[in-house]
Amino acid sequence: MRKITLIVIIFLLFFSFGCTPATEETSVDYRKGTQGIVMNFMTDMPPAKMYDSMPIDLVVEIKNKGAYPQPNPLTGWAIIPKGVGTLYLSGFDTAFISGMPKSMDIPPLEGKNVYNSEGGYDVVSFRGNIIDFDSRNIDKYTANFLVTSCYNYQTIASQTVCIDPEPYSTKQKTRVCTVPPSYSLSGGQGAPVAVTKVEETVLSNKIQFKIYIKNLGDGQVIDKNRLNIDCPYSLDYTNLDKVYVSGRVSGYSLSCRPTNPIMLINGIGSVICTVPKPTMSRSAYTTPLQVNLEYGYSSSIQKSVEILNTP
Amino acid sequence: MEIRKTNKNRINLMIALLLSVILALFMSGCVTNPFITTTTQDDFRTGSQGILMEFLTNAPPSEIYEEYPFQIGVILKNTGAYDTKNGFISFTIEEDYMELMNQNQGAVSFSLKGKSVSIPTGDQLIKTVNANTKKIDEQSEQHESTILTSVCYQYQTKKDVTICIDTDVYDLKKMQKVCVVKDITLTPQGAPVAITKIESEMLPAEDDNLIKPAFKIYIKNVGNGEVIDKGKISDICSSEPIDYKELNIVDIKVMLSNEELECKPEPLKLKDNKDEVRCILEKGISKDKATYTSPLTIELNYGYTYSMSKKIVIKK
Repeated sequence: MRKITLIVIIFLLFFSFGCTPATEETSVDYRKGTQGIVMNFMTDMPPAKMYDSMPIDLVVEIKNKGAYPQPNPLTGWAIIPKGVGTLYLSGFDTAFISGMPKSMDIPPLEGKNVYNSEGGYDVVSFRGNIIDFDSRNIDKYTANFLVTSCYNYQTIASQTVCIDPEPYSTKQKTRVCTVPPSYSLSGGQGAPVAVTKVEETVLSNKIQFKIYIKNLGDGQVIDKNRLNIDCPYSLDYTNLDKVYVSGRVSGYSLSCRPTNPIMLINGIGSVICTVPKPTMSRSAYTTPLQVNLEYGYSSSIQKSVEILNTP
Repeated sequence: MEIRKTNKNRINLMIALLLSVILALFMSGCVTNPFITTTTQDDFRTGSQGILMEFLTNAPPSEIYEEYPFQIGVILKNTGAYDTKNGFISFTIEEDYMELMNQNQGAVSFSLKGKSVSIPTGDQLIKTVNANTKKIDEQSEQHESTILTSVCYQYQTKKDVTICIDTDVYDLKKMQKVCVVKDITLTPQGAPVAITKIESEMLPAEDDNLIKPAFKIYIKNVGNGEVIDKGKISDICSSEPIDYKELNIVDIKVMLSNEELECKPEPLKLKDNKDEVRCILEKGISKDKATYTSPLTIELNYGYTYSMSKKIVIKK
């Protein structure tokens, strides 16, 4: 009886320390989804109704729901660039709410990855003080707080493509793949801007890929080089909807036209990229096409607070 | 008998437990107490009356004999949301048939607090004067006479509205806006003169980097009396002659955030009991700011008067 108890305890210890063989890891496709950095006001921070002469806290929850940045494959740590972005606060009269910071850095947040399927999470707090309304002879004021994020982001889209140097050849040979009319990439790639479709054309001396890009998020795409200068108060058509495209296929870097940055019109754009065609003798093969999109992104959240003069 | 007692105890215990849970929920703040609502001064700024006046029952009486003493009494109620000081009430009688016992009582001063958190219904007071009927004509059996009472007081209308300052009128910036510029229609603000509508506009300035917020404010006399110059209230409730220039005068003060706006015309002279005033922030606001909301505070200061009368029959 004692032996059985001992065996049971040892088993339990093994389980509790995780010494049992690991169950098979469930593969999570973290490069899915159409969101990047997502914000929301924490419940009742601030409340919908407040009184004057008291501190006010705006607590913003920030989640990285996208897949950028990724952990270093060697160290496992996410390479989070400093100054990834900034949160800007506006929409209210600073004569009545004093001491609120106008902007705050977005804390470093890793993207969704194999180790963290939910992505990074942090909170940012804006604290200020509501002035005494009696001194200004007002009874109530409805302040609208607008928090706007401006951040750099990247999309990495990967699609297995068929490279067939002679797709129109009449020679009878076994092909491992055929070039389809288009490759459809649905559901996004874990970023607000996504590659939605790739069309492959084999030309005489090169292979051409027409890459379709779309803003699937709820914010605005901004030229990454103007992000820290114009976002969010000076955004206009000169600095909006601009994406930088690069990529590789079969060991070659994509050579794209028009040159970067690519302009999105109504949130949609396309670019034609080419790579040299492999030698004719080579038969068709499959290989991954990797497309990198770099851009700035901005989205906003808003909350209205009714501030009353203390009776 | 014992079972019935036990059941009763159980029910009492359950009720006590239920009440404790409800009390705990209220105290913890998890449940909003429906019986407690937050009230501010703005909640009292409703209605279209300032000071209301009524004759007391039988003071004066409807019928009275000649050479007989009687009282004229009125009840004054401040049904508006502004405290009035140094108001006047005057009594006018047909001097051939009646006389006031104390000639100084022709105009009596008063102060009355308006509706507020501490006096939700507004303050009220009673003023009485003693009078006497005189002898009527030999040939008459009776004479019908009129007693006129007038009240003159300073009053204020105040309204705060949150308005939208749009620094990007032509939508050139591609930034989300927290508000849109729109007209605001208002109900009376607990005073006889009301702000009925505010039209907002963001005007271009000489300096390209600025916008000038401008407002057209509509004002109307919604009470049952006349607007008068606030500095002439004692004259109007007396036998002093009235100049037409002293009627329908309203002083206006408009603040946007903590800046006073320039208003024209100032003071305002109502025509047909209404008018509008245009106010502008000449200093302008920088276009570099994002669109934001700001409080616009409008204060109207004026004098107000209204009268009522009662017919009495003096019998022989």
